[in-house]
Amino acid sequence: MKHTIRLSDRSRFIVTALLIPIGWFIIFRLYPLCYTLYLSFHTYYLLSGQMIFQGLLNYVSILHDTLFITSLKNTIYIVLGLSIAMWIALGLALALKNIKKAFIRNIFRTIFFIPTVVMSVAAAQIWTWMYQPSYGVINYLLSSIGFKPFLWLTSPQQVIPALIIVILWKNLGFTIILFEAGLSSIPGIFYEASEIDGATKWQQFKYITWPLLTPTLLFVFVTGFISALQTFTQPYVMTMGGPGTSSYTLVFYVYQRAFAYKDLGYASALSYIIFLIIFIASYLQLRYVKERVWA
Amino acid sequence: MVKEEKKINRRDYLKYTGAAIGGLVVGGALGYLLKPAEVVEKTATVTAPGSIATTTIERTVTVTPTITTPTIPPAKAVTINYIDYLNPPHNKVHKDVCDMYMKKHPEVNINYVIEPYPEIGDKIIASFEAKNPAHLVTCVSFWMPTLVDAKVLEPAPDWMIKKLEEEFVPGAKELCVQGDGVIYGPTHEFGIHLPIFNLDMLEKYNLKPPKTWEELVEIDKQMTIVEGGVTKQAGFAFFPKGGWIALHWVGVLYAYGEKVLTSDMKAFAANTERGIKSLETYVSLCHPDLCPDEFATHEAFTKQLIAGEDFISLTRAYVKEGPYPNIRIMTPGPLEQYVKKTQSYAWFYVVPKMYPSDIKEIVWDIIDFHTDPEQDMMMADLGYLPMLKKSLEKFKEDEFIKAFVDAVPYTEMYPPTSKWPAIESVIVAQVGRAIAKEITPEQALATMEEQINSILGSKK
Repeated sequence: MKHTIRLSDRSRFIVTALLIPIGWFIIFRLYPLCYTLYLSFHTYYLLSGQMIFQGLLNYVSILHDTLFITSLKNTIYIVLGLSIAMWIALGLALALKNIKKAFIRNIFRTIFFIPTVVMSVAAAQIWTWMYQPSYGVINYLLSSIGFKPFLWLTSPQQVIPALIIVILWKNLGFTIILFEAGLSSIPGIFYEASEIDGATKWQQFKYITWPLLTPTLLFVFVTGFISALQTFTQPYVMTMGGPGTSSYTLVFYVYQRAFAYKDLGYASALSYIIFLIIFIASYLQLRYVKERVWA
Repeated sequence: MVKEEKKINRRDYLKYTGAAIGGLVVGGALGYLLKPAEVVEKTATVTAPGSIATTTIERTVTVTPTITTPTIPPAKAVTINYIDYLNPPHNKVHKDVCDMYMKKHPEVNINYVIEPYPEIGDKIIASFEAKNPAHLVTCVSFWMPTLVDAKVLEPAPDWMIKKLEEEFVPGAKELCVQGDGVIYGPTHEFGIHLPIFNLDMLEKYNLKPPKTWEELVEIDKQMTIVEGGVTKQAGFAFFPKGGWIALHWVGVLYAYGEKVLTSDMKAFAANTERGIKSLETYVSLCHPDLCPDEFATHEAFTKQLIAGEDFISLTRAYVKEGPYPNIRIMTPGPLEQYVKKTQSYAWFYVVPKMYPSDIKEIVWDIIDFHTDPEQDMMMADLGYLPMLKKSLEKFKEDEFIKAFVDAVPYTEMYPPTSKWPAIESVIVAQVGRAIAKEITPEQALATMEEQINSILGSKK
């Protein structure tokens, strides 16, 4: 008796199409994730291949590590700075929406979006030059309108705001596009109906725009939060974590531990701590903000 | 018309799957069988004169280089991978030298691979970790201890040690001796830290070049102009960013007669009165607002500084082609505070131990060719320090280059410990905080002592 397996073209396509992403996921995501977790319980010596089981020692050490605390504080500073910046993006998106002429709107949209397509490293290098206290163009412009020169990247107090400006400049365009997409998905009929009912612009914003934009806000907030926690390029290229340790961020510290200290076990444990921070914060955001999301 | 679903016979399905699995198993078995056998080799460890010669029996795995075809005898056609760091003028010379070698030895193909400087150290270590390093590796002194401790390098043959002794500039051989007393390869580039002065500006201010670090601090104070809280001019300016911080401060520390670590490399040794003074000196010569990085320093030097950054052996290349056109410069050699000493580093040619003897012989022959007078002059013409006495003769009249070569015996490298990268990170962070006036030099050294001792004691 012949047993046959009926595989339709569709099933074959699904199986084939899934094989590649599943393989990719296992090799490049799952395996590194598991191996990093395994490493985080060990001290691993490069080249000799010696791996000593340390249990939770790496995790316990992190809690007493002053540099980790400094990096965490700096990262939170960046996260807060960029959270405020989100409202700038929303404001700009609203302003863009109100520009009636598409041509002018597109010009502004392009201007805001250009930094997003500039390579992060190149942008960071350019900003380093612009921030130069003696010769930099920013201090030159500020002095021409009567401001005293700023020390920017060379001052422990000014370095984080300086980095926030760069990150904001880089990411603003993309956030505006997201908000614009969110705004354009709100049906115009709601505004028309509210106008007939005599609603003011503020009432339209409060009762139509805001509730219907909350899914986009949640998305932008969560992804922006995660990306701010992962800040690395700017401190690496512009300050190398300096002056001193004033611009150490969590991911920069992981990099330092892994590639300067060659302490892969500790760096892996740090990575998992960052993962936990992101996971808990994102969960809380989703749990408490989602209730207020209109969907 | 509805397309009929294609049916696959279950037996056929199993047959094809079985064939695929069988193929994989047979292929894997063949691969395993064809893999060169593990052999026990007797490895003679060559040691530098003055140290105890040892002979060790080591279990080594002989691996056929992936780039050679087993059917072709290596003597007839062999590809040698050579990894080098990115520096365009330097790369051009090295590539030309490789081409010259290949012309002379058509059976050898040198695959010259260039990696950006910030990544090359990690990539070299990762390649050894993956048991697939290049056959010829260029390695800077900072990373050598990691490779030395892991015992993955081939000691230099006797003839190369003799060449270092007889043909290289005085002091070169000593620079090549690693922490375990063994020479693993000759240097092809020194980095010697000497202060460089803009002669025009010195004359303009009627100043003589300083001889000690304290004199330089005084000159710097006289020359520094601060406007609106920002330094507009300074007598001297280090660029206090990243690894440069450690590189420069350690040079000053050496001139103050101190060391970073104790001789047994178990503790931090710089937290002393002189150590504090050296850090105060270094910090006072940092003007991060004027020279926050290397490139800004170049810019500042061309415009107004009387004393510029110490550009080590590359200086001459910069003078010839770089950012110092039309500026008269000079160096008085190492500044002497308590001792005449400065910091240096070097790039070495090294050969992985894991490759078969015939391959290693070819690699050593390439190194020999690279360190011949003709090739050395190619680098010297570019602006690098000549490595050979013979090349040096051609630069007798060049006071500037002579000062660098004369300084070689007065140089000292970083302590040869594989924990140096971690120690350097601590130095960069704490000295950086002192530069930013977050903490005092005393506090910086105290924190460094605590953290570095923790690293050395493997404590967390």
